[in-house]
Formats: sequence, C-alpha cells, structure tokens
Amino acid sequence: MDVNVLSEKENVKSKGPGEDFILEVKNLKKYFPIKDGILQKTVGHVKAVDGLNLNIKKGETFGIVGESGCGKSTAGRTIIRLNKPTEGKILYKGEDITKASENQLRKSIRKDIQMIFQDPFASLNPRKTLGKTLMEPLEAHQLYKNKKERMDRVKELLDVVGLDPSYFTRYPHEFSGGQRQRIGIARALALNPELIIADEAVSALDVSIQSQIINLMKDLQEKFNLTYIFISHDLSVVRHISDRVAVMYLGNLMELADKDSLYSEPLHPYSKALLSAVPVPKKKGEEQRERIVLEGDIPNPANPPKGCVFHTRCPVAMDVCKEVVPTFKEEKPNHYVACHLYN
Amino acid sequence: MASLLNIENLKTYFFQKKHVVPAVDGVDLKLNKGETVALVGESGSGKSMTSLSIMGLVPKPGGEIVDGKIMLEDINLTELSEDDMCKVRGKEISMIFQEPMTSLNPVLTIGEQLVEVITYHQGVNRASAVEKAIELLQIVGFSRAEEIIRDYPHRLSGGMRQRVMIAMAMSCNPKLLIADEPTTALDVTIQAQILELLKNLTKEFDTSILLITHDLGVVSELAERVIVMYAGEIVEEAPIDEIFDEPYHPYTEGLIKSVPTLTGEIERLYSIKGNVPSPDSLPKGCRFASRCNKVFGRCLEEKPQLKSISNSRSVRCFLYDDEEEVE
Repeated sequence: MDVNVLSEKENVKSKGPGEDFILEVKNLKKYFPIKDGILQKTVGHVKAVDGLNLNIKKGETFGIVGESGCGKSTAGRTIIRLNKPTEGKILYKGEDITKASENQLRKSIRKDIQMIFQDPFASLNPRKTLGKTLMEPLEAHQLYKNKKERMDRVKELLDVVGLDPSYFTRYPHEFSGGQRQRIGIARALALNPELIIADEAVSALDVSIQSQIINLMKDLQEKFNLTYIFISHDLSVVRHISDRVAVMYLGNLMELADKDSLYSEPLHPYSKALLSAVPVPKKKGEEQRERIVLEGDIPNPANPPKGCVFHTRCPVAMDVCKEVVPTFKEEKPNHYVACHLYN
Repeated sequence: MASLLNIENLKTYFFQKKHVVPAVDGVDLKLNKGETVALVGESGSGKSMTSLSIMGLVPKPGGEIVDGKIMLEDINLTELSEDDMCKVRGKEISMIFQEPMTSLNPVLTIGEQLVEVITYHQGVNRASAVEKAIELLQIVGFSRAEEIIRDYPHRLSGGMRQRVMIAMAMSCNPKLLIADEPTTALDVTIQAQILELLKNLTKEFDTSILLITHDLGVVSELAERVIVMYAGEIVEEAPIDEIFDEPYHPYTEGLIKSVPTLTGEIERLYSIKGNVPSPDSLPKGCRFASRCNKVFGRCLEEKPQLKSISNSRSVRCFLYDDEEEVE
C-alpha cells in the first residue's frame, strides 16, 4: 500500500520507487458494456476488473488465482493491452502504456511482453507449419537479416523448449497437447521477451505432461531471466511456481502475499475457503483437513454486491461488510488483505 | 459385501481404415454394492471408454465391444438389445458427465427434462413426476426448487447445472452411478460443494459410484478403492489409504509425484518423460516401458500380467514378479 500511494502521488514519470518494478498497474478497471434491445443500447456494465493495483518485480513469478469469472484473465489481457482499459494506468518499466497507440505498442511492449494461452491448439494456425508460425514474429519485428538466420533462430528455439528441430515442417495437428504447449512457449520466447503472462498455461494438460511444462517454464525463467505473471485456478500449481500470489475475487484483489505466508496463514475468509476446498491426496495418518464449504456461486459481475463483494458468501460476514468496501492494506509485512476483520 | 458390477476381460476396440485401436484392452473390474471406486488415468488411457462400454454407449460405427462380459448383478449388459439397454440406462445405471451444459437440452426447461426421465422409467403420471422432480432438486440443494424447474439450463451456473444432472441421475434410485470427471469443469469452491453432495447421496441412496477422473485429490476425497489405467489396461489396483503412501507401479508413483502440493515442500516436480504411446502402435512388451525409470530387459520383450500381490492389491509390473519368485 505504502508503495502504491507513494508512486501515485509522485509524477508518473518519476524514477522513484517505481524503478524496481517491471510492471505497475494502478487502479485498473475494465468494464464490458452489456447491450440490449434493437438499438443495442448499453444497459449496464460487466465489471470484469474493478480497481486492480499490482506491482510486479523484475525476475519474479507473480501468481494470480481465482475462480472463473473473477477477472483474472481479463486482467492479464488488459495489462498487455489486448483489451482497452476503461480506467487506470499501466506502467511498463515506468513508461505509461495505458493510452499508447498500436504503433507505439509495437515498438515498446509487443516485443517485451508475451503471452502463453491455455489451449495451444486454438492459438496455433492449423494451416501453417510450425516453422512458419514461429518465424512470423521474427519477420514482423524485422529482427534477423534473412530467412536463413530466422530459420536458425527457430531451430534454436525448438531446441530450447525440448522439441526436435526436425519438427520445423510439421503442422499443429501432428503434435500432442504437451508438445503444442511447448510450441506456444517457443512462440512466446521468440522475441526474447522480459515478461511473460501465462494464462492457465498448464490447465488443459494431463498431470504427467503438466509437470514437464512447469519444470520447463522454471528452467527458462532461470536461463533467460524472465518475469512471469502466472494466472491459474489451480492453487497447488500456483504455489509451486510463484514467488508472490494474489487472490482475486469479482474483479478485485482480496489478498496478496508471499506464497509461503499466503498458503500457511491465509487471512481473508475467501482465501481460507479456497484453500480448504482443494482436494488433496491424503496420506496415511494425515488428519482430515477442516473444510469450509462456501454457499452459492460467485455473484454476477454486472451487478456486484454492495460493500465487500464477498459478503454474500462469507461465513463470517458482519454488518459493516454489507455497506463499506474494505480497503486493501498491509496487515503483516508484505501481506496485504482487503477485509474488515483486520480493520 | 455383495458384488454389483463385475466386468471380465472387457475389450472395446475401434476399427479404423488402417489400424485397430484397442481403447480398452482386457479390463477386469469388480464393484461392490455401496462402494465408490475411482478409475484414474490420463487422456487416452481408456477410462472413459470403459464407462461408455458399461453404459452401452460405445460410439458406432467404429467402436465395438469385441470380447468380455459386463455383469450387472445377473444381467450381462453386453448381450442386451438396445431396447432392453434403454430400460437399464437411467434406471439401474446412470451417468453424469464433465460438461453439464452439453448434456442438458437447451430448449427444454429443467423440469421437463427431469419429468421425462421419471415418467419413462417409473410409469407415474405427470403431476406426481413434477412433485418428485421438485423433491429431487431440493435433495441436491436447490432452495428455490419450484422456480428452478421452470428455468432453462442457460440460466443456471455450472455448479447448478451439475446439481441438476445429479438430480436427474439419482431420480430412479440407480444401483450404479458413473461419474465421468464430474467436477473437472467446476471451480474449487463449487467442486467442494458437489463432492460433498455426492458423498451424502451415496450414503442416503446406497448407490455405488464408479468415479472416473484424472485428479488424485478428488479420488482421495470420494473413493474407497483406486484403479489406475494406462493405455487401455489396468496397471494397478489398491485401497485408497495405501496407494498414496505406497504405490507399486512406477506409473502410479510418477503420477503421484508429478502433482504439486499445497504445502509446497517439493522444489522440482517429478516428471514422467515422454508421452502416452499412440494406441495404434503399442509396443510389444510393457506399454509403459518407454517412459519407465525402472525399465529392464524383460519389460521390452514380454508383456506383464496383472498380478495380485495381496487380497486387496494388484499390479501389472515385472518388478513384483521377481519378488514373488524369490519368496
């Protein structure tokens, strides 16, 4: 919080406390209009992301967990400007990219920030060979002098992600799910990015393949000094790969902390419920963990509850929760939470 | 405990132009009354095809049960005509699927779909079927059941749809419920609700569950016994309280070790190298040999058999063959 307030008060261009962060997101909002009727008038807004603040340190893996509809994917897409933000600021290395044009973006972040998607098959062109797909970004950014150099680079990339360079001429349908995700990673790496946003990158994979991809991502991070934003609904995977973890609910952060303190001592009732709900393989003699089963579903983001957005499902909701939005503040060192229990 | 389902040497093959794909290749499986057994495996292991074989829903043309028996008490399901099978399906055995939206009819209300099942199998009139439908919806946790029966599926959330599917599946008090990845498409908090519901229902209705999943966590929540499948075959069978502590088959061990934990004590995940072999080009020896970290000469040459190690455990691996010979 203190860092947020400081850098907000100072000028955006200042090289103050923001210098340590590769990415800063300030009060980011993304509303999608709901249109209805013959004239397609806007009758309301889906508040997918509603006032998000994040600071991503260079070289860390920042995990974002949440259930479907909490806005975690929209947040990821808005950060790299695949969506136009409704409000707020996005600073990449201190540079404001919130309102940058496509042309400016291409010069600045398009190369530096890349994305890995959940379904690698849907994100690969079925009519292009693997080589063509991977050479395209190199051509678009005119990084290499001639085709030969570009081909060499692609073959190098394939090697890096553990694919045989002879796959160059194959089509996406010839690969298994795990191999396709490796291709997705190779594509993301092609331009030597600094920040990679992985949106449910391992969720569609079988467990044995999932662990291969997670290990690969960890190795690449070390090798190329990458920063990851790892978005997932799978709490165990996020814990495994992340340094810091943020819990999102209905467009807002509920809690943010180092992974160890978040998983061992969650503060927010939602984080507690989320963690207790994960089924875990039990070993002999292990106690049955106490489970908090939340009632009902995540509310409609077009019409979020007043006050704390979680109060409708919260087992310990108080009167104040229905009226007042809790502030997101540092309860313990580096452990932030938005809950009235701690105010 | 009385046995409810007894599958012997089930073989479900797919006949393609050039290949024969053995999706299920000699599966033996027993399920007792009131028991919950989990069938675990990765995509392509044949777990879903086993369940479709039980339901008589093997995709045709192409797929066929070529060998084996599926006994539900004293009826052999593989010999039933389609008409007879229709009477079993939904009444004796019912199934819930991963994606509840695709298994609900979008142009019929929830009530109409539930009433259809109840009138078809129980021969009751519409009014009492509606009553029963409301009662079922209340059992699966809808507080506004009278309103929900007039709603269309798209108005419900994923978790609510899965509840409707469960209500429909339980409507005729089936002896066996096949749950194929019932919570995979759901969020963890909703998954917890559905698992809780399934647990309570089996107690209440004394239904056996064949749970098909790839999620070992879900398995340990619900099942009493685990059967691990790989490339169309059962590779290991064990009670739930032993398998995580002492897996026998290297594949099971690999699976358990490759899942990250919530406590996070592992630095680097174990990974089973390579991919599941394509079912049209299976190796001569053990089907797991190319990915196994304990492979030796015999594995590449001979095919191991499923051997019982104790009265509750069996494994398909040569590592345990030798041990027995030594003893």
